[in-house]
Amino acid sequence: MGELVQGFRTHKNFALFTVLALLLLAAALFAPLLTSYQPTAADMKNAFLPPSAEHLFGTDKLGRDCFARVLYGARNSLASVLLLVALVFTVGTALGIVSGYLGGKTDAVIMRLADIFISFPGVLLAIAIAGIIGGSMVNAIIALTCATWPKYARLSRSLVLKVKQNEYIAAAYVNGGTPFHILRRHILPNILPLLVITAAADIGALMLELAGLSFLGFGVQPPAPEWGAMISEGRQHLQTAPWLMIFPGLAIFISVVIFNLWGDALRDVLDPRDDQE
Amino acid sequence: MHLRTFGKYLAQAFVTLVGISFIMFSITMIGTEDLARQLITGAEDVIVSQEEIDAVTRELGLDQPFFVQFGHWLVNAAQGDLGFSYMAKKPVIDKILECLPATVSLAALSLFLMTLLSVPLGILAAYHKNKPLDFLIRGVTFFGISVPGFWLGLMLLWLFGLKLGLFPIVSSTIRWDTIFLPALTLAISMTSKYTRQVRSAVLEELGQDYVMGARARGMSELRILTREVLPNALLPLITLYGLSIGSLLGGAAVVEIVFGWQGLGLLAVKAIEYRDIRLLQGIVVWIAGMYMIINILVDLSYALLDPRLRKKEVRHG
Repeated sequence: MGELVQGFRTHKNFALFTVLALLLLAAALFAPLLTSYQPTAADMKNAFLPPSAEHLFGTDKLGRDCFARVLYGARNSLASVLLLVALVFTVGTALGIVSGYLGGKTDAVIMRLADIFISFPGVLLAIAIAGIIGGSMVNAIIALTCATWPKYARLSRSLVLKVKQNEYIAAAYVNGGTPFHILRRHILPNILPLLVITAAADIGALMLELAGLSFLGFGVQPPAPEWGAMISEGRQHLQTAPWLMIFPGLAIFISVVIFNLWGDALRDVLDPRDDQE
Repeated sequence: MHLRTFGKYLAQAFVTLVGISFIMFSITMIGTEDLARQLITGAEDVIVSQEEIDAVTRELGLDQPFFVQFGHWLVNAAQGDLGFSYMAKKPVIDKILECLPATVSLAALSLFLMTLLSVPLGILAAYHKNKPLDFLIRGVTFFGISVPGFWLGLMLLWLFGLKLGLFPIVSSTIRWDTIFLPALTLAISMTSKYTRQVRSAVLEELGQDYVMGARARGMSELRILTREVLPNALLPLITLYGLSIGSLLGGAAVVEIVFGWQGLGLLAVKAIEYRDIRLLQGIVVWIAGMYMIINILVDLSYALLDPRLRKKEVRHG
């Protein structure tokens, strides 16, 4: 935590992108203050209005204000991606640590499972899972967790194996340290930074995959606003009302850019090695 | 390549395929309670008699325990029989083979475009490290990896298909003008990733001592690049090439839908909507199999291209 606060001062990029990411979250959180329209309030008389001062992003086929939908949609899109990253991180890392620390049969089983999941185009697996268990935000998150956890399991396992070779681990063991104590005090602090960097760098990519699932109809269900689903709706009116598709897409694009830049900057703060090569 | 190593690869691939089949099978069984009815009705809302349901249940052995069902499916699948698709009204394997050319041609063209763009761009960026050209290329690729593929596809469709009328809007048959936009969409995001990887692979080699040695001996830069740097940088890039193919096979689904491209991805989504479980299982296992074969080929090419690996194998094998 201290490193982050310090990084805020020393790394201008990191400070800038953190502020931008927070602004994004704030826009989602304070959506009611930024627009007076309701995202699901239909107004059939004003359907398919092009962008204007009154409706910044125009209106859709039900006359719903597109700007309000993009703003409120940020809640679904951002909440789901943050939840997804947290879940993948927790599940993958926990399995990887257990695998690396215990070794033996547990390790073999978990890694074999990871091999199976990874030897497989992840997006397709997610589509299949989300499609079968039914479209919803939670199911999309579960599906992408299934497809992504092996990456974190493998990474954390290899990190644990590396740290385990250090003599201070043996010393801690000889001193009577319990496995839990050794994991918490000696192993976790050493492997967390790299894992956090990986997770931060993945936010953008996972956001794209979540949006893709929503676009296919396997994510947040209408009429709730969500960017991927909005593009899917707008797609049917590509010819007459392109704004319905352009603005939610831009929202995804800008958010992903911000999170990707933030992820890069975070790596510079936490990992002083120059990886720009 | 040693026969024993090859056999080990195949055995591993086989175990993984069975594992994938098992996972797919379990998910479909959990997710669908009334499979027989769903297989008959699909997405439509028609009334089915109990006799019909019972007949299908018996025919497919759906009344048997899970493991018996899985065993049957596996034994049949090993013989090339992936079951019957109620949506397509033909065997699953026939439907898959019908859609395969579209997916393969799309993947091949986008890989070709990706290679054509990313290799020169990556090399250029590496040679101009931290100069304006490098920043420009890195900036463009950064935007390329941040843009949603399906949205990019729609924008291209809107611009080139609707506004300019250069390309057809629906790409139901495989022709050069129908394949170009979907291939370009896939190629843009892949090129963005790959260019960065080419850049770092080339930079890695440029920093090696042998490059300095070659320069000291007065070798021309072009010769150093083509004779020394590229062959060495090729190895890590081939692995990533294999990975790109994997992401193409799965990730193309969304782009296939945008363009109405009749490939395996679109078929998978249709199968889900229709609840055609057998078809979905078949597609997933089929794609997993293709992906695995590609990965084996990548590993094999490694052994062929890297003399060090070849030697090691002789020693241990």
